[in-house]
Amino acid sequence: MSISFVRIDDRVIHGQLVTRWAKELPCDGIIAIDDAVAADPLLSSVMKGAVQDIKVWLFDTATAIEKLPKIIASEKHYFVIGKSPVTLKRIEEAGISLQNSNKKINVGPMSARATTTTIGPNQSVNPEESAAFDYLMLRGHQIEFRLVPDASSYSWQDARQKLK
Amino acid sequence: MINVILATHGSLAEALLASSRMVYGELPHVFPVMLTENKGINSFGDEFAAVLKQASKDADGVVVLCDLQSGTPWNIACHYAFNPDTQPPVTVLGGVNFPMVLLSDEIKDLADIEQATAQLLANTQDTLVQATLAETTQSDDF
Repeated sequence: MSISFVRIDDRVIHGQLVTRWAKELPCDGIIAIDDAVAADPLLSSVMKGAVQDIKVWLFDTATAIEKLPKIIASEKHYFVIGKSPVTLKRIEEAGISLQNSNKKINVGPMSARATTTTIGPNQSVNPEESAAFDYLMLRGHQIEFRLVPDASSYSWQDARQKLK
Repeated sequence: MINVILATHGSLAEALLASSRMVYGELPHVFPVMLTENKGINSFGDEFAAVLKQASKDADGVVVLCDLQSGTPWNIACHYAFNPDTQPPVTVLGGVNFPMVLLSDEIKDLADIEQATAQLLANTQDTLVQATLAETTQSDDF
């Protein structure tokens, strides 16, 4: 299994935060997945430049589904970062397992938006995202909201209580 | 354990800490102290002493991150840093920026203050960068 870390982060590649995690967990490259970012060549190029010394791939969801089997079969260790839990849900629905050696899906910042409920510091979810987290949980994933490695954390089960 | 004091002119220290919380969550090892126009230099000295006492508790050392070399916060911090009786030991860095505060999270578990300070300074120097575009072609070489 070559995925060493799976994260949801609405900044996708947030330079300093990604490098912080890469100091904790093995990382030979980063696979970032988002349709809007991948469709914007300028933003893609800027984001890839955000991390020095680590190779970054930016894919839309369909391309990620096509490439992930080869990535998972690799001997190297990859971080997989999706902008939204909905993206990760679509990947699992396509039959690709995001089980990884960190044994969980980590969730970083998710900004407040019009239809979101705040569940933690800088972490807000809308109904579609809630449903996606439920789906990922049912697929056997432990979902942990934690901004950086040493920060306090809570699980999706804990967060769901706040949405009732 | 290494604690960190942010010592600045005006509200920069509080603001840096508030911005850092937005990205990293709570940073219990960071203590702000500010020189303000109304309270003046003497009052700042007293406040600094109180904050240093708090930050020193259970710490192997305290790094003071100042906004400006040779400003008042720097001068007062140096008074403690270069007094051989100061326990735990204190070091001082100038030119604090946002990444430096975030990177202090990576040295807080060290025990050697000199090593921690050198590492923080070296890591922060890499954060002053010009934006460039990365190449857009992506290989399939995973």
